[in-house]
Amino acid sequence: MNRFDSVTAVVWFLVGLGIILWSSLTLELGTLKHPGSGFLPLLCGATMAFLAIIVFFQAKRMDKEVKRENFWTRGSLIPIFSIISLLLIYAFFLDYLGFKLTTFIVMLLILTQVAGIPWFMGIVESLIITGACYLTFDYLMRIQLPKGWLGF
Amino acid sequence: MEYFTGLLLGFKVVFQPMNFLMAFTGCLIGTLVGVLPGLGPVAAMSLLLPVSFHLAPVSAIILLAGIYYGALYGGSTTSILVNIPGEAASVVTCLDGYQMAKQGRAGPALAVAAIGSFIAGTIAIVGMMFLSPLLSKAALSFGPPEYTSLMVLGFTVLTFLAKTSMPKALIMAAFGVFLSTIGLDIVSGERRFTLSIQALMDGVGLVPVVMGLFGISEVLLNLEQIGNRPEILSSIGKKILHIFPTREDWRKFIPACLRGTIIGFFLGILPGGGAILASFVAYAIEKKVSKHPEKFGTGEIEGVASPESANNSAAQAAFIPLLTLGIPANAVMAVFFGALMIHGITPGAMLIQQNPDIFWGLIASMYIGNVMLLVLNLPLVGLWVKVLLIPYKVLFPLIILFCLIGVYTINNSTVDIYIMIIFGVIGYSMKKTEYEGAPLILALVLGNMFETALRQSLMMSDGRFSIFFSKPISCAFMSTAIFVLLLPLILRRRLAVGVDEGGG
Repeated sequence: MNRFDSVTAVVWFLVGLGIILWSSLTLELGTLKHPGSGFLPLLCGATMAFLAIIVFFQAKRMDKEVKRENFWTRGSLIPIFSIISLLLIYAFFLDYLGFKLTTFIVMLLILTQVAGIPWFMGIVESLIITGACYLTFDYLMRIQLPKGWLGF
Repeated sequence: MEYFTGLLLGFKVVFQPMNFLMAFTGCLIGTLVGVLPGLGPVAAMSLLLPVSFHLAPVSAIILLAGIYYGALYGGSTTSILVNIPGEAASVVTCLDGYQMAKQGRAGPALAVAAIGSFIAGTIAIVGMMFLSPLLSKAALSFGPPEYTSLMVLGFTVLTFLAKTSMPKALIMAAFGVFLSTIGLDIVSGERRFTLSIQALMDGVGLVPVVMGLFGISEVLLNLEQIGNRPEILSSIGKKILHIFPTREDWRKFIPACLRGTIIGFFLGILPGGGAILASFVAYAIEKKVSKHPEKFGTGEIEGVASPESANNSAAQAAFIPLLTLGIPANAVMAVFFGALMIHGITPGAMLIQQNPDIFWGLIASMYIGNVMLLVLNLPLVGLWVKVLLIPYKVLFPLIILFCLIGVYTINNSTVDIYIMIIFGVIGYSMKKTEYEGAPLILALVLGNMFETALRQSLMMSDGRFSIFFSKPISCAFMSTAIFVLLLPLILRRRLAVGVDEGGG
């Protein structure tokens, strides 16, 4: 068992409950003879909620036996949030700025800010990575990569 | 004769220059992925899915298959040399393999792993060749109830084998089925849970979910330990003086290899089974039949031969339920299922008749692939060890970028990137809280098929669930599933009775 089991059980219970409500309010459940589009999602939600209750009580029973450790350490938070933010930035700007520019900027930020590589090396490596990927995927494999507003 | 003609066709297919090149590329990438911890075959195969769109279906399948069994070969190298399993299926190999390496016997350990994998892989292919056509003929008589029961069995076995608790794995499976319902309902055409996002009309894609759960989450997890990550300096790798096992090693190796092969083959066919389970079971059995079980973990050659043979045998055997019944046995096969569907090929009972080039080409490519891997793994051991020396801070930006490109190019849609990020965060939290991704992936892939089969079965029976028990095959599957579901309770009760008796 994991020390977070009681918390995750509550989360999954709520997710299950949410699915039950969502499917029963927005979809046709049908009957057992003619199951509707909401039938299986409702079944999934109910199963998840039921199992989450089991996990919760198992967690409560084993509570004293599990190791106490933190979900995050202070040092681990920064790189994780940085990466997630940079990925979101990449997704947001990819269509506007195009593959080459977005990839270069995001790679540069990942290499210098998360991996801790010096700026000059970061610029060189980002250029190489972006160029190599563009050549491989766009030029050699003919996979279409977005050009963006700037047209390159 | 039918098998011989089929195999001949397969070799014709695989010896076409493009297919041969793809088999080699797959084995090479697979070995690389296997050597590098943090990027498994599931993520690697998903990553290359968009690339495979531009290939002929048979070339694409040969490429992806090569990655899969190549990764299993490569995983053992790092287990033996540096005690870091590149693959989950190679975890057990660390126990005796690393000890052998510490005793200066890294060469024989690597040789035994490679030769064992080769022999097991080859025997499993022969088994697959004979068993698949028989099974696919049997599968023609399967109707919706049989398919529903078989899928229920697959889910329960996979969750039973989960490393953590069974209810947690079942939650994942239920969540996976729910995710598969997002998009248009197949029967009524009604929109379900799309949040008015156009890109979700076709449902949640397999690749973004896999990349998030297995690729991005792994990077996030490794980033936490970037400072604590041990710099891998394999002095052991440099000291490989002799490769070939001694006569005594051979004497111990052959029976262990054959046992591992047989165990792996049958566990590989099992829905929910696969290479990881096979390697653990093979090691446990090998220890049980050994005259010196106490020596296991100290560098016994059987402790390397048996799990390595088992995981490769299982890897090949796992193709059987996919190609004959259209049911993927594990997460890797689920990605395969997705790849076949993208190429317009429906895996299942009719595959051998409708696409003999794919079926026999794949089988022949495995024969060739096994030889290629033997060549790639033994003489190039030094090179693979050097790959391990690449610092993670250089590696992870590349993994992230490949994930981004791989996901975007499937539909040229940034929505898929957002989905990948969401599942990256979910996967990271799941790993921290010990929830497994494999049941979710399998359920996501099978979800649509499961829903159709379940609804059809209920319509056929006027809403009676007894239909799953009134047909013999379906009844057998369903009864086994219920037994597997109840097994933890039975085992716990037995254990409690045993403790009481012992105490009293």
